[in-house]
Amino acid sequence: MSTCRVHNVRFYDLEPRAIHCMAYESTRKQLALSRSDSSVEVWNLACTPHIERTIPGRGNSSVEAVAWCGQRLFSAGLQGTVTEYNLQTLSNKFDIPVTAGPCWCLGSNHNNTCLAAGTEDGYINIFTVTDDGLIYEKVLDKQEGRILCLAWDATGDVIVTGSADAVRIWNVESGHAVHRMTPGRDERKKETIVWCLAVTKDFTIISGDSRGCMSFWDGNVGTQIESFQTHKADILCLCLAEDENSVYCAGVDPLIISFAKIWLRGGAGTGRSKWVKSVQRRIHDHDVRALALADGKLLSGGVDSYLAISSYPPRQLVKYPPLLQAPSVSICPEARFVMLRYLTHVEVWQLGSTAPITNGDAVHEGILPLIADPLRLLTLKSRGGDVIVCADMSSNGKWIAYSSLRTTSFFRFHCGSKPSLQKVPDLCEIGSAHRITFTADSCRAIVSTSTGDIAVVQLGGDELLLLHVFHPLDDRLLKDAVHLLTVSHDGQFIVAGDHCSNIVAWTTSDYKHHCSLPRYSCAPTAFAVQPHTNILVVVYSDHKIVEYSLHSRKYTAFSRGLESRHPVQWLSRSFAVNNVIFDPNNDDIIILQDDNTICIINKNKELPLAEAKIPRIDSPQLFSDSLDSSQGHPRTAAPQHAFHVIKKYKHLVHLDWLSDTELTAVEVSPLALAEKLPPSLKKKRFGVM
Amino acid sequence: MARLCAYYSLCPLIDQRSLLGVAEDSTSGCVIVTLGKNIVIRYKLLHQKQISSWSSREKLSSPVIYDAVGSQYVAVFNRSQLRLWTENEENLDKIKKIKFHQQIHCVIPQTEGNEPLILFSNGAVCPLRTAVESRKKEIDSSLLDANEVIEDYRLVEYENFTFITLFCRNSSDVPHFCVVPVSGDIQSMKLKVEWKNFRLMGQTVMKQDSSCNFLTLWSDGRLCSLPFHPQPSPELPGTLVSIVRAVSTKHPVALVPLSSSHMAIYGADPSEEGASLTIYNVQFGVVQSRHHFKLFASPPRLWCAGTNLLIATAHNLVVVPYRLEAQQLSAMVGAHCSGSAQEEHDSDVQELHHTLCSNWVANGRTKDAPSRSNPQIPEALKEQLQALEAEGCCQSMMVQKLLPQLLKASAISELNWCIKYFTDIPEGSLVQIILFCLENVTKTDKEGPYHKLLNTVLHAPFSDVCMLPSVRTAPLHLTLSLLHYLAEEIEADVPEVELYNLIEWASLLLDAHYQRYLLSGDPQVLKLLLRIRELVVNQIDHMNELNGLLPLLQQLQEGKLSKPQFVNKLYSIESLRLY
Repeated sequence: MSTCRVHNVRFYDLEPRAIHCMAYESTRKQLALSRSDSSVEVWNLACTPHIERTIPGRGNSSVEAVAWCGQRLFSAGLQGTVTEYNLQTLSNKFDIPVTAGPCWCLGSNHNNTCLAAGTEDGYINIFTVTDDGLIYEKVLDKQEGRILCLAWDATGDVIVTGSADAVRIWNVESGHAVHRMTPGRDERKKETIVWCLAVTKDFTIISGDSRGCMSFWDGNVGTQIESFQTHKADILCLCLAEDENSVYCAGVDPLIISFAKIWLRGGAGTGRSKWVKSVQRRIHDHDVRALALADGKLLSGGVDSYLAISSYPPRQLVKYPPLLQAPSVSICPEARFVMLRYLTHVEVWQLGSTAPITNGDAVHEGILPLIADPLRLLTLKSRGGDVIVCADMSSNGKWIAYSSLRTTSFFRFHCGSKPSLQKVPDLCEIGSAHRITFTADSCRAIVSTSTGDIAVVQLGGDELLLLHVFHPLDDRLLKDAVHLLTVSHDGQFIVAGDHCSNIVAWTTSDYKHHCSLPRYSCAPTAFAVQPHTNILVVVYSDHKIVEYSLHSRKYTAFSRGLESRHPVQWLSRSFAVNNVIFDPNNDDIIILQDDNTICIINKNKELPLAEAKIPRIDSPQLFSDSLDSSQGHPRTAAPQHAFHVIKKYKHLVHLDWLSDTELTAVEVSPLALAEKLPPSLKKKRFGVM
Repeated sequence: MARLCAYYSLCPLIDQRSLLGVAEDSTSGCVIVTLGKNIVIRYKLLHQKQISSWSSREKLSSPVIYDAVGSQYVAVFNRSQLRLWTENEENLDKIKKIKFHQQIHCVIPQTEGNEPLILFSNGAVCPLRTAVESRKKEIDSSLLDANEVIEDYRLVEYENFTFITLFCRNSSDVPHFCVVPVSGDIQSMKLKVEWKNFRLMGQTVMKQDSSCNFLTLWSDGRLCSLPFHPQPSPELPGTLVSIVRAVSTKHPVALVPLSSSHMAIYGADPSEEGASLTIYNVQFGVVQSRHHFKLFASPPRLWCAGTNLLIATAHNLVVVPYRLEAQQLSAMVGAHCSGSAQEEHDSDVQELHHTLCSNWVANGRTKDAPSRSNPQIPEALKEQLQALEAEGCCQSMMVQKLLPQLLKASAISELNWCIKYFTDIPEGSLVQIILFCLENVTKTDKEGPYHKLLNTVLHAPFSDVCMLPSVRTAPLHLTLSLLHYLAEEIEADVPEVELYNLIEWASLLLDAHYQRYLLSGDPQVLKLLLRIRELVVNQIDHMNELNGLLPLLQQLQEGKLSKPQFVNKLYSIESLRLY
């Protein structure tokens, strides 16, 4: 039995960033979603959904549409450009201006050879996608009014666009509009805006508009087949299933309604079919801005900023909070600081303290009295309001480093009676960084740059000294951007991992490649090196856990034993592991943390049966209040097997040791996020005021 | 609030003297009028129509009453016979006579299911049935002498006691007041009603909250009240209620109690022309409603039946309906109120409440009979005070008359005594005393006599509404020095003035000279105001602290004082079991 004191930090005050649009790419199972800060997140849905990369937004740009073209990601925005992103450096590859004004919509054809962008002034720009960029091809005939949405048909010869009071069908070859269909108006003077479109293979056009109507059109003859008044307010998004037998729609009225295609008598193939309203679900309380379907699961997002992944049947729903991609928190055990990374600034807080525990109340559980409140020491805003990609603070609290898209900056921080911050001259060899980590002795910093290099920087005095640069991309050790980077506690090993599941370790004594771990099919989501033993623990996105001894360069016995005996319940969890830590007092303990659960693995104990449920321990005063306690984790006082969980938090951002007996848990409360949301569409619901 | 409504004539009288009496009938709203020696008529008051009537050959000697217990009418004939008959009886002469040896004065109906009482002429009282059964026996009564004649009687039910009070005169015209017990453990009592050389013009018995009082109206207009039950105090005439000027006291006056604080007075008009009927509020000493009648017939005769007063005027029996409502102070505005509460300082609203429940007589005794309750009247004032009392001055007037000379003489001890003794000191006088103190007081002598006087004055009860105009007349510099003094007292560790009074006075002074303070612009004044403000804010903080303490104490009392909650929602440290 081991207890520790946990500092629950709930002042990490993240703003919810609304999801504006989504695009799903099925071959690599990645989802691109743009948020209100014009950042684009790429989520990996292959195993457990998790953020793979975050492309930070630029100050004065917007993202109104995202589209995949093969595995290339494009976006269009009100600045009037079509942008391609470099997913490896997490920056823009190029911006190509479009003809006439802000760009509202973007779509690629089914062969991924052409992109079409619709603009404010009514032009449709056609681009040809080449290997190294986009070539402007032509514009179609100008129409009156902005083009708000567009869709290619299956053949790629026709584009369908939606704008105020009209759905148009264009011949791409000739550039002329073939048909113009009007959805009609509810009020004479209020135009109906067609917000979203989809086209099926049989050239049925499905549109959602500002009246809350779903309309089905026959594209061949340009007539309306059916129209359903489904929502009380604008339908902003709809998505068509891959088999084209169902379509989902939602909008300002957040009810998600699905339509199913049913075949009339005679069965499939005879051609007589009809769209009927099918199941509906209320997943969000605020406007739904984007919908996508991925392998039968519905992805939805909107103003409430949560990415919801739902399915029916079976009825499931998982909501992923709008947190920044980890690591967004760093703990400085020596200085007892916690650094919180926000979008464009970092904050450094001095943690509070409690009265020292005397022997008498060693068994005391629950909240302890504070004798010192936490104190914010520093708010460091990035230069020019740039988005901060990554940041870290050294263990002794004297060094702070952050990186924006342009540059990486190091600061010396003195925390006396009057805290002071001193910028250290930049190292020109290091541009923008993806990850920065300080060694435990605060003498060196390891920086993974956007170019894929890994640099070792000596900290000392008022200058930085570049000790060594690894080039893992050139050495063919890594193949993608580094998203995991750590250095062993004794500073002997540097370990880096990329999205392609390559994990490489170098030694720092001679800057040599030490070893590479065997590649696994899933991406790693967290790893850490155990102090003292230098055992690397890696958790993959399918929740597989491996333990690799860096000294002996092989999996440990425990890892091999665990290989085929992972608890099924563990593997089926919906949230990816964010962080791995070890008990400083007990080398046999591995602690894993995800969005809402702390999982503790005791290597000394027997592994449970794979089908056995993972027990849960919690404080006695808590057992009644958490609703999800019934989520298949039986409560236990003394876990018998290697795995058990602690379910105590919601949106646990980070968990790390502050000292040998103290943990720090940084948490974002769902209520705090919800409080910052704008009011939602008022709808009378039974039993609700 | 009491009101006499428009009156109407019930029936003409054959002769005012021959009218024997009026009694309440079986149904409410009806009266039995024993109009003459052999005519009895039942009237309904609503339409003044006769319901039925009886006449007899034999002569009635007492008014006919209705016996609710036996559902019968009872009357005395020829002073020695009793007849009982029912409503349907037509001929009274056929009814069996019940002869008594003793002379019967009258039959008195009782309420609440008790049978009527027979009052014999010798003052003995016996319930009807017992009297009938033992009619051959003589019932002795040592109360009345043979030559005494009962003039008036009244049945009083007080708490568990029932008794009859008699008012009688002997042949030498000396009135006596007797109490004849009916039930309950009470002593019979006889009292000679004489006081100095005044003549007794009217009397009645009034049942009040804490005692039964014998009210006497004397020929000088004085209305006195003598409590005789439960504690007999046989000193006539008792406490002075007030001077009655609403009726002439040169002629006999009829008094009838209507409630514990109201009575009806019927007598000759003070202008010596006609008669006057008033409802008199004994508590406040004011006439609350009044009717004038053109003719006065002596002796005045007044009955009360339900909510109607019946008067025998010269030729008519007149009915005057009256209404008594809950006492409203507004009806008293302008009238002097002698009843005041020593413990209640705010004389505005609580007064009403107080008057409804106070023991007026007990208070009145302590105040208006100073010779008994406060023997230490200063010699200098004794004579004057007695003279003023003899004049029937109310307290405020006494104070107003006494004050100038006391101030002139700087008689501090007398002033002190006055403030403590009188409960109703006019606000203007209080201000006068305060100004006097302030002019003479010096800052150094904290224990000086002026300080003591000032503290005493500040404790005196007052009405801030009445006080405001008086305070406004005070010069500003004195007001300021008083404010200074109040501030010091509030600040003091052991204040000599109650906090409540300090606050009252301070707010009063601030109200009174608000604009002058503001317009003066004097930094000293502002400093003083700020100081007072700070004191008030401190007080409020203090009160809030106490307010917060209450639930804590309650929790403690209930033994469920929760563990202190660490309220930082954004940060907490807790013990967590990992494995």
